Amino acid sequence: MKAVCWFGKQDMRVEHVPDPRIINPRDCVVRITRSAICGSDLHLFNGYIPTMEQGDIVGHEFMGEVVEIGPEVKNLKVGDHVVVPFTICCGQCFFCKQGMWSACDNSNPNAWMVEAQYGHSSAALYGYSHLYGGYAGGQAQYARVPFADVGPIKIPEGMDPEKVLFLSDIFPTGYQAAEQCDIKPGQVVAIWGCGPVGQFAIRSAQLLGAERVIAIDRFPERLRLAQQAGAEVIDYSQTEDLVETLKAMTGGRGPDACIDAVGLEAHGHSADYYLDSAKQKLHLQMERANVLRQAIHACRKGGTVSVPGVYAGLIDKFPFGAAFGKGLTLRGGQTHMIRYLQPLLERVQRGDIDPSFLITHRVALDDVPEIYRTFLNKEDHCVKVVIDPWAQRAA
Amino acid sequence: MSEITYPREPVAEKAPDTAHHSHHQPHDNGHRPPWQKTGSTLGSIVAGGALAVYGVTRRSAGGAALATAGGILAFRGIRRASASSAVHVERSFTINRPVAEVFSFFRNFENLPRFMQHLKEVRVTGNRSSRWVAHAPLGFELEWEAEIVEEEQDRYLAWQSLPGTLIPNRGAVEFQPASQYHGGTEITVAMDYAPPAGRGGALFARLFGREPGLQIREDLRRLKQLLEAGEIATTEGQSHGRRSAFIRMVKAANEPSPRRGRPATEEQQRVVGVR
Repeated sequence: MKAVCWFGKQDMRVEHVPDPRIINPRDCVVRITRSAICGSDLHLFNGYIPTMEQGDIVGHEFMGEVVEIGPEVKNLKVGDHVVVPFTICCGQCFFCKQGMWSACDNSNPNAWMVEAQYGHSSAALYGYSHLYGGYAGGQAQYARVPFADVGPIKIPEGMDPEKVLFLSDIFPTGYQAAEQCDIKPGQVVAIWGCGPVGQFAIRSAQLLGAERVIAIDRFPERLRLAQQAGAEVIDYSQTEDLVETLKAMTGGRGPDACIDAVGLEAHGHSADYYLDSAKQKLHLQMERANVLRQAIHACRKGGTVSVPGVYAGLIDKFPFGAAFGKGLTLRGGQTHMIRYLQPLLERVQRGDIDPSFLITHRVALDDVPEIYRTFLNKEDHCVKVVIDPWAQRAA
Repeated sequence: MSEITYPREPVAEKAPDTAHHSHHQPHDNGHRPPWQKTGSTLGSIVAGGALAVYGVTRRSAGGAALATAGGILAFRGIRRASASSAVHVERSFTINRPVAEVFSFFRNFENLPRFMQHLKEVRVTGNRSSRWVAHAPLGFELEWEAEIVEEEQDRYLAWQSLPGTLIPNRGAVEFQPASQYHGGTEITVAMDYAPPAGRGGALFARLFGREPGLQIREDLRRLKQLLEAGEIATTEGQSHGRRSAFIRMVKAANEPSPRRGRPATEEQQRVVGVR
């Protein structure tokens, strides 16, 4: 089969590799019908995620048709169409049983690596470094799905794949980010980053009862998408002091909840952004955390800062004094995907939301290495790339 | 060949209850490692050793039980004391399955090679006796007979190798219900290996490397996966693109030794002193 493999910093290649096969009794193999590139794949592309190996198949947002089933998978059959959540969960450990799916004890074969770094290891992910399990990803024609009886959700026949594909990551991730804010009717939520997760966070915050959503970015097409959803928008590149602007928009209180949908490769024009950038270039620090700092500064007293953006290492100058002084609640973590699959599928079916609004680019596998660069540089108004692994390359 | 210097004598098939419980403290102090349950290390060795010697001299069923209890008491003390000269490893894990299930899975030693990577095979040869085959470097195999020296249903299990093995070893496992909130079983495994004299010493060093504790940790993680998820998570055998020469080299070096090369001939084994 063909698969997109990581070969180094800014070096993705399409390779011919052996078709995946059943390895464990609870595996299945899917023939991938649609896949997508996630903003977090850009962290891989830029080489910020350690323990990638040359030849690793990337991609963690995919759906497909079941073509092979392990003997212990009783709830699926060949021919079923499924969306595969990006976290791999055993369904049997304490954490899975408690619904803390992304903290699964048993899915990561390299758990010891994460334990050394974080103290404990969490669920494995598809195509996202050996630290996160080293499982082959879904920017490919086929994929092996471990614990297939737990994760994948069956899609009713006849549903448009583009409407359900984003159940694999970004819709639940944006939704959890909003849910973690414990939004009360009448509250104001500010969201940094109007990329795919930010867009779903905007819409989820509205679904969960936020009175106003303030969306922050600098790309006009992304701000436009936020506006179309009914958010007020701020182009931070045109704003002198974002925290003051947010205060001015909320009667001096600050937003009741702040969502950092940007993560470790933030941009900005504050002093701490330039300091982080310099340290990152010198390999003194992995993260540029200016958005997280800003969110903590802007959030009203007793509010919540919810972080769906990815962070991986240590942050310098973390303003914990402000978080403590204002009594903030900080929440983050990988998405507990399986909590949200069914309810969000139902919202799509009811027409509460049509996730396909995001898609700006549809490509074949052979186009993927090039489109990574387009996506990274936000060229061609690129917001979300969907891959049809069986399509012929556009001429 | 050096033998671990703790008393060991044939174990009575069914020892009286007093022998089983005399050295266990009440369950509520359960979060200490197994050897600490018996109090001071030195005290354990002295008292346990004396008890064992006394028991052996009685040459009766009661005496044998006493000897067993003493031997185990000494074992638990020695475990810590001998840590500098032998390999001592110990790890705890919480397994989200009932104590009875975890105990009975472990009690059938034939299950051990399913999660203990250095073991090739364990054959149960009697109620308390078993024959173990372990992978050694360069395709060699180590074999020994072992015997269960203490057993308390759903609570505790200890075994040790019989004399005549190149690397005398022993192990003990404690099973406890985890907190009410978590459910499941807290399992603590402790194992000891004594270095053999002579040329076997080099083999010993290769077997255990610099961090012998890592092996038991990963063994227990596999046990947890097996009992909770029914399978051991792996990516071995999955598809990938071309690997760099460096990664291929590292992977080849980390291949478990039995897969590399042919098994050692009897002559080679004799030269190195295995068996």
